[in-house]
Amino acid sequence: MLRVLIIDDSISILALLQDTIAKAGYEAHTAKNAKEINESLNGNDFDLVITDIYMPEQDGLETILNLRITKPDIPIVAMSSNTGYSDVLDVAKKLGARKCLRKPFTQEAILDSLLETIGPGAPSNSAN
Amino acid sequence: MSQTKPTDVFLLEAEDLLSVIEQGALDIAQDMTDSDCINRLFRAFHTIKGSGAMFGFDEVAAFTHNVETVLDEVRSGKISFTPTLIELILASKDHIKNILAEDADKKTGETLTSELALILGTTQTQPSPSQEAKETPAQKESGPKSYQIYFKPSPDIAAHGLEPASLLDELRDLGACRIAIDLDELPKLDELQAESCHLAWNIELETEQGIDAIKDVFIFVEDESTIRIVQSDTPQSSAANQNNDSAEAAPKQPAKASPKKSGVPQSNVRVPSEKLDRLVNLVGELVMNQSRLSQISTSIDSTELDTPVEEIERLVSELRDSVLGIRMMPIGSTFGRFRRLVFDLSSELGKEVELITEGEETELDKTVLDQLGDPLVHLIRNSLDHGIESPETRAAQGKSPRGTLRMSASHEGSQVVVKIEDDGQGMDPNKILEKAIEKGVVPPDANLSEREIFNLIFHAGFSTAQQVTNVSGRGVGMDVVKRQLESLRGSIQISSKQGAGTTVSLTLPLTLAIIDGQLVEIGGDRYIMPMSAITENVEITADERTTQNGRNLITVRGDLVPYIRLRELFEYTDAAPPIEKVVIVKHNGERIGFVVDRVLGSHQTVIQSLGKFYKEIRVVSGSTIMGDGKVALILDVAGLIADDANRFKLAATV
Repeated sequence: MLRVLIIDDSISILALLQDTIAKAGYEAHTAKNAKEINESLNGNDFDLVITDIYMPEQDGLETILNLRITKPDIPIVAMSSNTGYSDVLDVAKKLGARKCLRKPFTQEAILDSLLETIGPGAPSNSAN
Repeated sequence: MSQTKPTDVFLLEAEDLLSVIEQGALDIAQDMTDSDCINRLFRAFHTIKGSGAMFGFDEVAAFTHNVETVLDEVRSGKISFTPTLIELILASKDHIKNILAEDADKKTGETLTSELALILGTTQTQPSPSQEAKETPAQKESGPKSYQIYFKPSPDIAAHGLEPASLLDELRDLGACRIAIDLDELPKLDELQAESCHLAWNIELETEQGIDAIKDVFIFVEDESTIRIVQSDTPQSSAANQNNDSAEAAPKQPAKASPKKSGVPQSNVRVPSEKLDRLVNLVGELVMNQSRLSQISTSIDSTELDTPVEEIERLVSELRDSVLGIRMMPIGSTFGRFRRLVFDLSSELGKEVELITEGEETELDKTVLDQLGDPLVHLIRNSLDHGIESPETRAAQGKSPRGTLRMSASHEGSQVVVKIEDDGQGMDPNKILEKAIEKGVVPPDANLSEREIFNLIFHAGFSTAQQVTNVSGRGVGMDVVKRQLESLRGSIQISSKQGAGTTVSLTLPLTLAIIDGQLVEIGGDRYIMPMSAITENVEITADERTTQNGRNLITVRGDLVPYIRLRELFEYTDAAPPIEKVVIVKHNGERIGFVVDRVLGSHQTVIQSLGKFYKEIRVVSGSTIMGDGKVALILDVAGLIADDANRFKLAATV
């Protein structure tokens, strides 16, 4: 099964995305802080990483940068809500994020970007 | 596994974030330049906005966006914090909470939005229309500024694919640059790791650009590196910053230290408290069944059975201790909630109050903590309202104009003592006594000690009078506070020194789930009395009972102690043993005896509540199932005394 790592410091977003993505037949893992990100990325191979941008400790842009250096083959989807003066998603794109999603986005939007980047998930009833 | 819906997770998360916001705003009230705190605030609003939008809380997202924008400007130094802004943030927090609770007032939202917009508007137009001034409004004059920059990358910067030299180049692009290398931490040649960066740089930069432009240079390395940027031609701020520097010049990395603080709670697992309650109940039942099992095993007397039964006994008791341990929570979070109350109240009353909290790490059962909130609010209100004087009055009395409210918690044996202390005007015993006599609470010729007089304010008849507050300074609803504490099996003491302040001490049990009790027997049934109240057990003979002319009094070492005969109260009709036992308890400083048939010994037990059908019964606080499967009721001492007082219209002793 295709493995997806979701990174966000908001546990509710993690819960929502994990739910959505797992139901679509992907193996969905989550990380909510620098420690979990590093643990997840060190021990495992993921087919896709979805990351929030504005996070404490380790910024999403930093995560993208690290990933581009250490695991350049993993496609990255960046997500963020728009904030103030600078558009972080532009930066994310420049750093090599394959897709950028502006919060709020729909469940279809995230599934579409999964489809485009790594293809369809396993057929259903492996939801949990 | 997870049965919790993501939306519920969001609501929980939002609740957490809102409390982060409240704490953050109050922290900033102490130090308006605390950038860690500003970031924490910003991040909390940002997450509420982002997550809120994802879960369809559009109103929350739209409203929060305004606050976030203002904070973003604060973060970038374009707006500075003011007390008004702090109040606005707190009000916004309340508003968001109301929206989430579907209890929001549209008008409040609109007012807040326009006030926030006003703050944004003034800063964008006020300082100067010039682009530069907009970039760095902190500075009055335009033109190049010089900055002192200290940059120490993390040793493994190269491993992250970053090159310090290119960052220095970027700085040179900003303006005239003098760069000095700092070799202090360069190790000896044989210890030198060629791949690591041991260098640091001191940079003097003169630039037309704002501090943001400099920060942007370091944007990808700021978390890993030690970076200090000080503007050098504003003497005041640079002095302040340098002070800061020397304070944290040590090994600590300022950029890294703060997120860890906020990161700590994230490693916890959140569980709805109902699940925990259920777990505690299950463990309680397990404990009972285990003791039945032990009992049966003893009667069967099989060595084969003994070993596993003993093992189960050990495991169950360990399980019980750890489950009850999960429910223990530090009192700090409860204390934290009152910072807002103190902040709001003192500005409302025009008083200056500093809240000092001590012993935040002291742990109490969650149920106790939850129910402790109301009484504490009451006591704090009293202290601020009537205890601490206005700054003028204080100054006139030679006190510091800023009053102090101290909340502390500490363990004392199996109990926790929470103290609320103020350095206000204290209570006047003469005025309280006068009032009490006027109200008919005590007879005019009453000869009371100071402590007894202070205890009068807990009397229900005393506290209903509104004007008491003007006279004594205390007394509003103190009887309610006392009742609430008694329902927690706690007690309250008050001491006060006129002119110097008042201290209220609350004594609470560590947990409500377990009771340390004394097992007694009446007419073949067993009851448990809470050990904490018991002072001694004495004997009473049938003769002694009859010699007092039907009055329920017993002589204990020369003193007359009133007693309640439980077998009469519970209407047992069988014959009483010739010598009965009297369990003497101390209640509100008075001794009262409870006559039982036999005292069986001490017994620690998990309390089972009786369920809602029995909630009107005040004389019994719960039940427990004994090893042999029989039920023992847990007696509520305060309830029994109150019941007796009602029955015989006895004047309450205090």
